[in-house]
Amino acid sequence: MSGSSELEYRVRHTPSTLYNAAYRPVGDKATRWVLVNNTNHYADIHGQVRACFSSRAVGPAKSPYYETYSTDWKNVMTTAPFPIAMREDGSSYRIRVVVGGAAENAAAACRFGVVLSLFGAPTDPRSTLEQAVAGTIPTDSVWHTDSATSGTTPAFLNGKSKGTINWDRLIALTRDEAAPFLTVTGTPLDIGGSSSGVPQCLAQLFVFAKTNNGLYGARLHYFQATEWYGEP
Amino acid sequence: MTYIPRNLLRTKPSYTLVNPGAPVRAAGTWRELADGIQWIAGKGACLVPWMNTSFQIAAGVTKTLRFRVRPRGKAIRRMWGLMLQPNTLSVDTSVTIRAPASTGTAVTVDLRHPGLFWQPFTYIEDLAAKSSTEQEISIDIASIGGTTNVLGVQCYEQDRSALNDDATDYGIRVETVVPRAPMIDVAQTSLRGVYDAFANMDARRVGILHLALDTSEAFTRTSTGFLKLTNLPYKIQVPKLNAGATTQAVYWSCYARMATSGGTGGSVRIVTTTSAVTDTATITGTTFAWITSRSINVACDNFATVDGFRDDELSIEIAGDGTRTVEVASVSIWVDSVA
Repeated sequence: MSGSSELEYRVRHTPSTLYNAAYRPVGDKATRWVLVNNTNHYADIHGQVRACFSSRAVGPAKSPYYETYSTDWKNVMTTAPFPIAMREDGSSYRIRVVVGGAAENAAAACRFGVVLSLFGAPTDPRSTLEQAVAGTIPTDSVWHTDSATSGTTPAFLNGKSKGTINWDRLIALTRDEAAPFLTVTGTPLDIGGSSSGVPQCLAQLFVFAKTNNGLYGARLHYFQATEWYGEP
Repeated sequence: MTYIPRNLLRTKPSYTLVNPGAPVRAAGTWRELADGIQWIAGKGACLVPWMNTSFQIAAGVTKTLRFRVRPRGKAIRRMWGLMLQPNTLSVDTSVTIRAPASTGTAVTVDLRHPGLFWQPFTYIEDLAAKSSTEQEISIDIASIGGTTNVLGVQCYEQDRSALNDDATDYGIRVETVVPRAPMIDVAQTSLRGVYDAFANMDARRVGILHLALDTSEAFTRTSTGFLKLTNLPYKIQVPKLNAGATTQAVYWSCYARMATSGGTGGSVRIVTTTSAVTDTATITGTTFAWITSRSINVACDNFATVDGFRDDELSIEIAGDGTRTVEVASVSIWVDSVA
């Protein structure tokens, strides 16, 4: 079970069943199921899709996939920073990761990796990926394909996060990993209002690829990342 | 007007503290609820998840990307993220960006700056009013001096730093939800404030996916045979609401037209696997426009597994009428309601 609510679904309610007049008792079921259960469930399901693209099969001539001919890990795609949702324990919401790729030619074997980090963070994302794949820094903020692909037809790829949890399709920042990314971003208090600061944990998703044959590229055709509360 | 700050971390109020015959405590439950509801209400939604655009803009040309969404009604600022690149590094290239397209504040960015080569940057769109009405959001990019590669775009609503204690934001006066404070029947205050804020918050995962191009290079199809627009289907998944549910409604729309009038019209079709949807919209007009949004039921989150996947897959397909060509510039899918 991977939600934080008691029931892991929403209990139907109407305003009048919640609170309809002064001096009326507040029922324990209304409080427990409607308020407590639903608030937790809504907080669970509100996790946002942060990236979702599939390479175009048709359209403008500009290559619709991200590609590298590098035989070392090369950053092929980076999302803009986004304020990742934060759990109550200071870790980030998990990110559900889906990666699709292909090799330009069957003579190449290609690998893909994903790092949840931030540009300018104390640790370079590429270094984090290299060390996590090598096993010297176990971290579940890094995801890596299980095996190299030589398939030239775009396909979804299997992998694992490289930390102690070793998820199949999740990555996340622990509380300690998230701490360097905490910041206060300037924003108005309200429409046309005075300036204020909102605390955020700004993160980015870095996708890396490499090929074992520099003549033929590794192509990232699909990437999807969705926030997910995860296991309690 | 009082502004109630919202926190960085969500809360997790415990149901084990709410039992028949026992008092429901302010410290363990009501304050946790108040902070949790405000965390949800003030957290901005992602309207446009990061998408690979991969098109070019020649010098002197402006291209526009359009997306269909229903924003959250408490947002006041949108943050557009863009990855742009000069096509030829030796050519001095800059871009002018506006959101909304045509009417937004123009910002010019010099792409010679080395930090922009792989590092996306942000364009800020301040809103004139809060709105949760289904609408088009748009951004245009004009290339100056040389050709620009547009590699990616995203847009999210900036988190609110604080909520108003009014009937729009429903911020809760948290100093009234503390141990030994009296329960009073005043708006945005005490238990009534918690209930009202709960009933009026918006917990939607808004933007699910978008596929967008400028109308000048829209997807086209004349044949009546359906053509898939992407190499891989999208892994579609939306929030779970009800007990036992395996699917949930989402809305979709497309920005399309027919190149010439007459005939039976072209088609834009959504096809899914696990949820077995085939939903076809007919395009007849010769002016680009969004079709009336359509509802389909696709797979929702699966809380019985660690990652919640159901692996529903969605394809976007288009077809002409055999003689006339359908042109599709944008397709958008979003969650309209979790009420």
